[in-house]
Amino acid sequence: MLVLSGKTEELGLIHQKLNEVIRDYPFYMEIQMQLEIVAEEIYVNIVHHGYKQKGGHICFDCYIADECTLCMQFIDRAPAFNPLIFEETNLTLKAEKREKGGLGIVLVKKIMDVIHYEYTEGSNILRVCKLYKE
Amino acid sequence: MNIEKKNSGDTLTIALEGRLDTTTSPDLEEVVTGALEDFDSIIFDFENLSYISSAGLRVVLSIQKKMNAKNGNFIIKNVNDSVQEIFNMTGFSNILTIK
Repeated sequence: MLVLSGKTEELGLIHQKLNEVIRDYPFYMEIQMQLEIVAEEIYVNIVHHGYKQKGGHICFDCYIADECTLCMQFIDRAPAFNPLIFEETNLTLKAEKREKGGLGIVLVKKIMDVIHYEYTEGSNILRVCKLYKE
Repeated sequence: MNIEKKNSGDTLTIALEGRLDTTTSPDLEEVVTGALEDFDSIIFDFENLSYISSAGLRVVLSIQKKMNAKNGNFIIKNVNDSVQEIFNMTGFSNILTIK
């Protein structure tokens, strides 16, 4: 498990850890970029919106739960924040009507198969998993 | 990320190499925003762009909006399959001109 101080400059460490683990995943070449995007979106969301760019501990773990499931977990102690209850972004709007925000969570939801959030004893715990599909 | 600019008349072509993410997208935004007024057409060459996250998408969206507002052209060319899939997931395929 990585313990980070909540700075965007540490994003490379998350990707490094992720890539160490997914090398063993059967289809990692096909989804490497997508998993890196998910890790970036969640981490940056915590840094910017959770800790308001003032820094704070973020624990990151990545593991293969079984032979067809890869999971990433983020734990932070920012104020409770459930990314799953954000208003859905309308992806059919023209450019002029589009807002800047919301794309990160769209990507997380589209790419990952399982998203689980809980707030326990002062910690946000977000686990996202990707299932292997033939 | 490397950003290479090439001017040709009223067209600015910007070739990107590497990753367009949270840490690099401000650099692109700075380069393009300063040039938007001077060109009627902006072309992004994504041939060597290997990664794009929502931070990069926001810059792309911002440029599309600004070029629409001035009736200019904004084209993205040489998009690889991985980046195209991100455009598809976010509906950007429908609001961008991708060649």
